[in-house]
Amino acid sequence: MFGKVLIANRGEIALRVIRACKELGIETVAVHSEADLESLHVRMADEHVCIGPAASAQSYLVKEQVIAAAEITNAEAIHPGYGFMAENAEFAEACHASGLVFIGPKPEIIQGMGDKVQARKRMVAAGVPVVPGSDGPVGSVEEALQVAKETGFPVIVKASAGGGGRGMRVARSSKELKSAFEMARAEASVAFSSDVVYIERFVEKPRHVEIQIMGDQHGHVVHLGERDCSLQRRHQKLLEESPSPAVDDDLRRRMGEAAVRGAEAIGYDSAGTVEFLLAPDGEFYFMEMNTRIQVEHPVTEAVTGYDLIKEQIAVAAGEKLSFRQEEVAIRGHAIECRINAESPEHGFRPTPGVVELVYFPGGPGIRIDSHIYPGFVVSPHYDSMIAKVIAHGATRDEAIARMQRALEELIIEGVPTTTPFHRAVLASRPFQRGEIHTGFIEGFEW
Amino acid sequence: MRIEEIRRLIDMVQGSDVDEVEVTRWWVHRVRVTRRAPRAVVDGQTQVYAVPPAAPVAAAPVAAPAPSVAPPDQGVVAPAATPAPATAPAVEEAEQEQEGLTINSPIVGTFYVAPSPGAEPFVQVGDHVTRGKTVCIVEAMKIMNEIEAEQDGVIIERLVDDAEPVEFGQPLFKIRPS
Repeated sequence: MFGKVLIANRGEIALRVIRACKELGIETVAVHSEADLESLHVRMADEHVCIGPAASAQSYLVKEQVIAAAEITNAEAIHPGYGFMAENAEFAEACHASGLVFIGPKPEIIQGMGDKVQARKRMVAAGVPVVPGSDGPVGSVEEALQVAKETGFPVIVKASAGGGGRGMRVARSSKELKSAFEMARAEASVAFSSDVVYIERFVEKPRHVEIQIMGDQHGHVVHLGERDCSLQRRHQKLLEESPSPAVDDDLRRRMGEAAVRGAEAIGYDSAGTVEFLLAPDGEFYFMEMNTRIQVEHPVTEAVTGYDLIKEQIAVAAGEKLSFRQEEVAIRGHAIECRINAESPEHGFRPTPGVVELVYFPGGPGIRIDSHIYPGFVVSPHYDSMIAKVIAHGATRDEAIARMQRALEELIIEGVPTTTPFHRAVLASRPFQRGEIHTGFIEGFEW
Repeated sequence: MRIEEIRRLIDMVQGSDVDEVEVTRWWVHRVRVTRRAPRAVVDGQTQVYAVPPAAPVAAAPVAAPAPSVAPPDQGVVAPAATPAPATAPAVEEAEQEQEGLTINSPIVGTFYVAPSPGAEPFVQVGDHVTRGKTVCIVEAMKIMNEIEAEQDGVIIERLVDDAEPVEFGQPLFKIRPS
């Protein structure tokens, strides 16, 4: 096991990793920008190093600064958290070159899965179902029309280097496809400096269901069931749950096996997530693979009882997975609400400011992962998520009831948050019946 | 904050004509040493230590509220200490580095005074440096980065020992501009 780990992140995930390290008896090094000196992750870590000014591009995203911080503190490994450099193959490579362990998969896997076209090809080769579409980049409108003829409308044009919903366009006819193709290309070119796009059939009213996987360096890969992340706003997840109301034991087994097959095919040896689109007819299709720990990992931890961060650190240190597939059991139901400093009444615009008062809920089945405290400054420089509330119950109904009363207890004063929106969703009939899909929020009146 | 540090603050106030000195570390470690009744509004987390005029002061115990994310009511539990009134002069000037008076490290790394072990240091205390003159090296990822003076002046103090780690923005030298 490692003696000292540097956490190349901030906010709640940096805290989460520090907590795991403490429980494993590992010393921790926090890095921070000048704006984050008084952050909890800095306070909780054994050591801390300032790596730059407030702007992420000059601090948390500068690989040389982060690696130098590991060097001067003699850390052996770097945990990237999520976001920032978690899926940056060059950073992972630079860690290795400096004799540091990158807590995540090998750089070539990050690279390969980060490229959507390549990822799709490798999943097809591994026998993982994918949405029918172009088997590679589509270079012209004529080619796009040809692909659409084979898959049938509607289709979606996606940027190969894309993510987070940018560079995506839906077309329901040949006419629409012509403009959608050009717009997606232009958007991709601006957002990702690459105008490579591909085309897939657009699945109507799908669910976003993802499988948590975990691999080690001894050739073991297991899955820990699914998370339903269908409640999204502009492809940003707001609420996640496990298990999915739409997945039964048989479907879970089939989706899990597909995810493990894909992960094994690429030699995956860390924590990761295979995202699927689940169609209303029960067919599922590979979307992408996230080669990192995810924001919503606590719902899986709640229902499986495993600590995914500790497991991820242990396998990076060369240890074997602490459990086998047949030991993984899903107990009860868990829901996570992302509390963001955003105003849902005003189109979810970010609301930076000073948190004046915080009261976090407690009681049975409630977990809070947060880095805020009274006086905490929500900076416009960083992500607006300020807390995650996770409720675990014996059944979905109990989990919903727990979340509802937890959000009633929750007090955050000083900055508007997404809490009222979550309460409205939880109280809505369709949500309570589990009838949700990725377009649910867009049509949600509250 | 350690007892000795608080004692130093008290000494500082006693030997000066400044009313109060407040030092904040994190948001829960806030210590204010004051001579007269402090402002009416006292922050919930501030501990106030009054300095009686010219009397030996027993350092007050430091009881910062336990820091934690979880307990919801943290931060509101710690009541303000009742400040005892006092009168007399005080000194301020804790460790305030006046802006522009230090050469700060632009990167994280290991500080070296000379280009190689045993070699002549780039600068000595008392040296006059001109803008652009290399004053030290900060090594990061096996790369020797030369740090240059950003203004003309005289080096009045070196703040970091040779081969010590430094972080972004850390003051390396004090410089008196000329």
